Amino acid sequence: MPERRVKLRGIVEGNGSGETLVVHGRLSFYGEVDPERGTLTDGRSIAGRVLIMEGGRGSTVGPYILYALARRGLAPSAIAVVEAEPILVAGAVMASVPLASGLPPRLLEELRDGCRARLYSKPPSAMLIVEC
Amino acid sequence: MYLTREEERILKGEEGPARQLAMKLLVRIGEALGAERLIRISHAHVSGVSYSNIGDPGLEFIEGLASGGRVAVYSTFNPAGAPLGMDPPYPVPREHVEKQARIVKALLRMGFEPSGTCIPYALRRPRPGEHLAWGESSAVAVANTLYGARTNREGGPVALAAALVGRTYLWGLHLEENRRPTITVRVETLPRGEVEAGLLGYMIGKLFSGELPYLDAGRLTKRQVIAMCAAAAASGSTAMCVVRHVSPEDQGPPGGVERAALGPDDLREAREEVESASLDEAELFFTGCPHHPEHVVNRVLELMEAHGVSRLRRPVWIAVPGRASRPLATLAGELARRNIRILPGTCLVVSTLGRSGLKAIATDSVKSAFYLPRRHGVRVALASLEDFVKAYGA
Repeated sequence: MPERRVKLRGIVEGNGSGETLVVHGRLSFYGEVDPERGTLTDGRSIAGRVLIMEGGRGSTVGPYILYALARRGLAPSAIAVVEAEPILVAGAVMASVPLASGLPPRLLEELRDGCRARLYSKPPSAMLIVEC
Repeated sequence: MYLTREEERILKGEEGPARQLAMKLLVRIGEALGAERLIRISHAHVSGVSYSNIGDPGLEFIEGLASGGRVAVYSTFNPAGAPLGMDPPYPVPREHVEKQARIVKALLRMGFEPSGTCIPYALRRPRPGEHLAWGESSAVAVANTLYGARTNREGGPVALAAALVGRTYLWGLHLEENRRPTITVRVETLPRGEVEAGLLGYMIGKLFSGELPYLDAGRLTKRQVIAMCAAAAASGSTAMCVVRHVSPEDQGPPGGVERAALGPDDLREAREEVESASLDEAELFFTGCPHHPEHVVNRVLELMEAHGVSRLRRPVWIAVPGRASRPLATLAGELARRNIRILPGTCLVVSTLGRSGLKAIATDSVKSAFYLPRRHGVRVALASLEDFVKAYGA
């Protein structure tokens, strides 16, 4: 896949880069992310990755998990989602993780783990660059 | 998002880092949701304060805020993971007790009311039309449905942020146009008692999550409305119903919306889904989810007297608000002789009950019947307190 540049909506400011970690669906940080190891339930590591997914969901404890990951240096370096809901935004602010929404669902379908990605977020705008 | 000059100042950090972080949280969420501005609230209620739920990360975050942050409005907090000021009748690890005490201490340092309850409306009655920022899904549904006050379901740290700046984002149920019923639900079997009201709520949450149902369920008691709201908020994301004869915003059955019905089969289905034990198997009876006001203890004693019971063969546990502990503490000995235990300021759902070795309990709370098997592997029978007193009277 050639380099892709997508304009997104910046929600939480900052720049982050790393390998992509793609979740095809909504992730609940509480219960689906191990805050001690920084891994998903399927074993994939979230630390330093650009997390790309449909969005967050679930328990209001979620923001504390993202905060815990950040305190241990295990947070994702950036998050890009189709739609941002309050729990995810709260977590990203608390953990100071750049967050952008408005990812086209078709692009999410195509993306795979292990690509190079950079997110530049300066609310209200943001830019995601992906190279595979 | 439009911000007033004062809000800008807070966002720049001129009132300290705690308020700055709180303001940033609310502004970023508001922007993500497309809110135009913030609104002032009169009461914040924070959920997610149990150590068994939020763990060390939650403790660290709350203590961090408390090092400089003070609440800007009347603020209360949810039940803790262990009874406040009394020994629990089940095992709670020492580390848990100590860290829970630190969380409560940090909240009190920030200026929270000593509360520890999921019924903040019993401490300060909300007025119709008033804006609130509450966590605790059952209390949110009660505030909107029973009191006509306005609040979304605010996640733990979000309600905490609202407490520190006295504001939340203007969105969702704060807006008049989002508070109108979207579906009429005809209730064919009027619920008797708290258990049936809870079963009705369970089906409402399950079938109409995302809708705002209009219900006519006969003359419901306040406690029935609370049980219904709590169950609907557990099985679904229901944050409000308009209930005929109950909700201040009731303007009669709405025209031009979809219609549905809930009948006896639905209540049976609800019971089959949430009930996993029989009354015979129940090792104790748990009531107080949502919390009872403290005078409920009198009702239990009256019920025992009416059935000529001086001591129950199996215990009754009653969860009440945390600040009830002092008046009730004097009664504790007397109650213990009757095999009644008071659990002030806690909630079995967010407790360490899973370590108790209990296999089955009875309760009148459908919300508890929904959560206890999922969280603690305890099987649950649904019964009224009277059924239990009759079954386990000496």
